[in-house]
Amino acid sequence: MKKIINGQHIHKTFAAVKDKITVLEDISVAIYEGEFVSVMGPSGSGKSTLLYTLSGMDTIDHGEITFNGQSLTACGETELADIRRQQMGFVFQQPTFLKNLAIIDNIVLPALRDNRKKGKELANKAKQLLEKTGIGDLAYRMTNQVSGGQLQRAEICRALINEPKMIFADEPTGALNSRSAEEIMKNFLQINQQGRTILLVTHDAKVAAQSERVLFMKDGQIVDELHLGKLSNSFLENRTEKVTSKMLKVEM
Amino acid sequence: MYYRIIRNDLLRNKLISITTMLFITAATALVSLVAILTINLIGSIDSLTKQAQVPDFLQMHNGDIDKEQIQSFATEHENVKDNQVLDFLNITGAKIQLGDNSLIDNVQDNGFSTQSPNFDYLLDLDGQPIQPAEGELYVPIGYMKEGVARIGDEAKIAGKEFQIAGFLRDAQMNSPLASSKRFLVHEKDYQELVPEGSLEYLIEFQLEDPSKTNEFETSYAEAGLESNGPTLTSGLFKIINGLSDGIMIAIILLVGFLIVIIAFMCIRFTLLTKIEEDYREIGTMKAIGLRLSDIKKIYLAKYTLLALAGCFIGLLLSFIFSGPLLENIRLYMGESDYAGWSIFLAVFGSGLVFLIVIAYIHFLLRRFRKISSASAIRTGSPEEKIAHKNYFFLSNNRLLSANVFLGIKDVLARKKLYVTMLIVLLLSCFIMIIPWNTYQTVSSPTFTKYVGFGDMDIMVSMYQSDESVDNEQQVINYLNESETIEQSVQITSKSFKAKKEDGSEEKIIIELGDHSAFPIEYTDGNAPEQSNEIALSSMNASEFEKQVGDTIEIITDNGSENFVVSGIYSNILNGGKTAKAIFSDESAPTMWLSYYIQLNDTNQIAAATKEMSEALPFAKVTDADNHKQQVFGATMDSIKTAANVALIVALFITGLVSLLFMKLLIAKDRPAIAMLKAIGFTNQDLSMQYATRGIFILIIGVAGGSILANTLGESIAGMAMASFGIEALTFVSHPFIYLGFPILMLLVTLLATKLGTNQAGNIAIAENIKE
Ligand SMILES: Nc1ncnc2c1ncn2[C@@H]1O[C@H](COP(=O)(O)OP(=O)(O)OP(=O)(O)O)[C@@H](O)[C@H]1O
Ligand SMILES: [Mg+2]
Repeated sequence: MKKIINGQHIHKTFAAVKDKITVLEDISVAIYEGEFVSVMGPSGSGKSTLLYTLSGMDTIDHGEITFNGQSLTACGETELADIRRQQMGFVFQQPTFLKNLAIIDNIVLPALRDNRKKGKELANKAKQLLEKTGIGDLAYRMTNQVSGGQLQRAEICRALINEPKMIFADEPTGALNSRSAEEIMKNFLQINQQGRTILLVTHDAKVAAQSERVLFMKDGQIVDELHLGKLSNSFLENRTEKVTSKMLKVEM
Repeated sequence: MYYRIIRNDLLRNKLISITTMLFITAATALVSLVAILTINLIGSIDSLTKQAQVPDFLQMHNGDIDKEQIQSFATEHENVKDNQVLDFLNITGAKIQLGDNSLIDNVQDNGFSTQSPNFDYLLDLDGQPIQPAEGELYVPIGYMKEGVARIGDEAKIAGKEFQIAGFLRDAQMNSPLASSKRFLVHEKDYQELVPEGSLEYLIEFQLEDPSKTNEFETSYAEAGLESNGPTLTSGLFKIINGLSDGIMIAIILLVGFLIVIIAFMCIRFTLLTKIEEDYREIGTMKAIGLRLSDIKKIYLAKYTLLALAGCFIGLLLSFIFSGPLLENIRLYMGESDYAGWSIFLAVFGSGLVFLIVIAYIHFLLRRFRKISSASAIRTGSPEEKIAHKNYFFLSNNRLLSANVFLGIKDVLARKKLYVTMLIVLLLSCFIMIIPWNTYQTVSSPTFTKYVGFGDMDIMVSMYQSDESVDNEQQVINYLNESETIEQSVQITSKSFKAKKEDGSEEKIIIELGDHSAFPIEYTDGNAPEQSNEIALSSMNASEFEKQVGDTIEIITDNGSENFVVSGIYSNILNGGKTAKAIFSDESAPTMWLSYYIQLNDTNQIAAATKEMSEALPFAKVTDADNHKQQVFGATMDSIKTAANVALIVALFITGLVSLLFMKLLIAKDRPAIAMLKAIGFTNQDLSMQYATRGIFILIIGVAGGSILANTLGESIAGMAMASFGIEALTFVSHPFIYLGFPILMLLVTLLATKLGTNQAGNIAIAENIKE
């Protein structure tokens, strides 16, 4: 299988007041095309940082990251922005939107930058995406007129508008109640079935259990890994238990 | 502890602190400068008037004079304190050689006299009456300013040698706006010069009660005394002395006023942004029951510190700058009696600015009360109202690129935020345009229309004398024969008597002839077209209490006749009291004759002027442009200086405020910027969005500023001019003002936006997006 992301010996430090703190320490990780991978680990272990560095949003001290065969570490800011816009999608814990645009406009925004003339087409596409995620009737609301879960799904739609190869999600269910979380996960599974790769950071074992592979982080390193294989509904509880016990082991 | 908090706060927000202080500094400096200049101008004029003891009433006279009759009139008149008749020996410029410079091109009536015995003294630069020794020549101060004469230079007047011993101040004729200049020589030398020139008389009166000058003027006219020449009063001397510097002060006042407003906008903007930044903190403090007055104290202390420093520096600056700006006033009019007052008022004005700033901050801090702790803690920022009405969908837009659209959209959605920058840009534009338009207007060839002269190339004028009839014929022949002349008209100024409202009669000088050839600007109404119509200068209109449409009774050939006032115009020259009509008259005494001439080729003016003055030695030939340059040159210079200063100040404000604004905006928009970058917008995209916002506001600001300048600004400039007797001013502009200035502002705004938004590129996505 083809590696979509290949990270080799990633080091990342942050400058603190007096000295440097190492956040990612010699991490090597590969993610394959079409995979659904989740990342777990205690708070402060470097999960978010890993996600941001792998997607080229944050720089690394040394090491090498390639995305789809292209070296991200060699790219300039503008090229990175182009790659993010055209080949990646992002879902954050706190949905961030432009407050003065309607939901549909927020969704088409990344696509419209390159296709000014195709506004109508893009709007239709956005509406289809909204239908699929179950919030088709909210297209013309402003962002402050919908609930958190609905906004989270709108963010997923925005991530999909450019038909990216890969979706990065940082605790997309973290701020939601369990019912909303379930619905979001359904959306992610659907996306994955369409062949898109997903890298998802979560604290929730039940969420992680729905992915194919779980990476466990601690103190800036990937300390363990769990292969679950594609999800078939009946085994969800079983898988969750596996993830939980592994997690407990890691945290000890 | 407060000290530490405030110091850290000031250091952390250096740009905001410095900008706020700068604006307070500028506002204070200008306010204080206006106080200093105004008081000193008034003071200098007053002290010059006092030292020189100017006459309250002056009749210039050309021709025979009966001094005894004047003396007996003066003795009988109860309001006369003192009177005298001074000689003014008019010598043509060609005969005056000062060092290496000849006054041949000089448009002034240059005259020689001896020191006056009783009043109307010619003063040295210390304010003392000069008593020249034999062979000594004292030269009007204006020639020193122009660099025409230097102390110690040899001078040759009509072949007689003099040494320039010094310069003199002349409370009457100092200003370039006054049409005559007096040189001072010893009595003996004067007698030798007499055959070389033509003698005019200054019939002067000092009054017991100067407020009754108008009544005195009437009784003088009624007495039928010598009156072949303009009549002037001390009020007019003051206006003419103050005009050039007065206009400069008016412009500084206008700029100062606008800067005060801009300073307030700036304070408002920075303070509200800061409050927003501290929103959650303030809400929390409120929630846990702390006293808001404590935080308020910190804000207040900080701004008090800035305002104090700003006002102090501004005051110092105004003292420094007042030196060079007062130079002209000092040179022409000497030290002011009110120097102490001016310092007091400057300090007072600065104090006032300080107090207003503090009061304004108090006012803004009332907002604290409105912060609800619940919403502050939950959302961390005040609820921003978002407009849903007239929502224009991004996806429906085909015209604009996404970046441009987002930029404009943001401005429209957050109007309250952007209105600050808009107002600042609008005012900057206003500040730039007004002084330049004023300058363009005053320096345009048509400006003379506002002071009672048509747009002519050359004026030939001559006083009434025994040879008048011959001379007149000679001029007419010359004008008919000359091929360089496009058109010319003859205007005869005659003296009539007119009836006032109260039945008394008063002298009125009427210019008779075709007034349509060289039209002037009328404040009200039109030029006289029927033979029963008359136009009055504004001074005459107010003197006779007439308005357009009223009738005025004038004694002519046909006895007493009624004329309809067809128009009113400004005329600050010639004593300001004139009238224009087209009827013909044979009996009234002619005062002087003028010919207004337009040439085929305006490049020939200088040559034609020279030729004419040689061909018509008895007449005074004036090159109109040159005349205007010499008369209004100083005024135009001071307006131009003010205009340049205003331009630089406005561009500086534009740049500084744009920079500050963009920086604050970027700080505020951090999360949105991080998000846009995360979803793949490049730094160029972001720059484009911010530049669009800047340009969009700029366009509205410049458009608004231009419109405002042309309406409100024109009225303000018109009002300022009106106080000097020039009314109904319409701006003459220059394409550069409406094309070039906006481009300059655009460049500055773009540069500032670029500098201000550079930071946007450095905003780390990761830090600003994860909660
Ligand atoms: N900008 C920064 N400057 C300094 N240190 C940082 C910065 N961002 C993160 N860190 C540190 O890096 C480490 C990893 O942070 P990261 O956000 O990746 O953790 P995480 O695993 O995502 O935690 P959580 O589950 O709480 O989101 C933490 O110890 C954090 O304190
Ligand atoms: Mg995290």
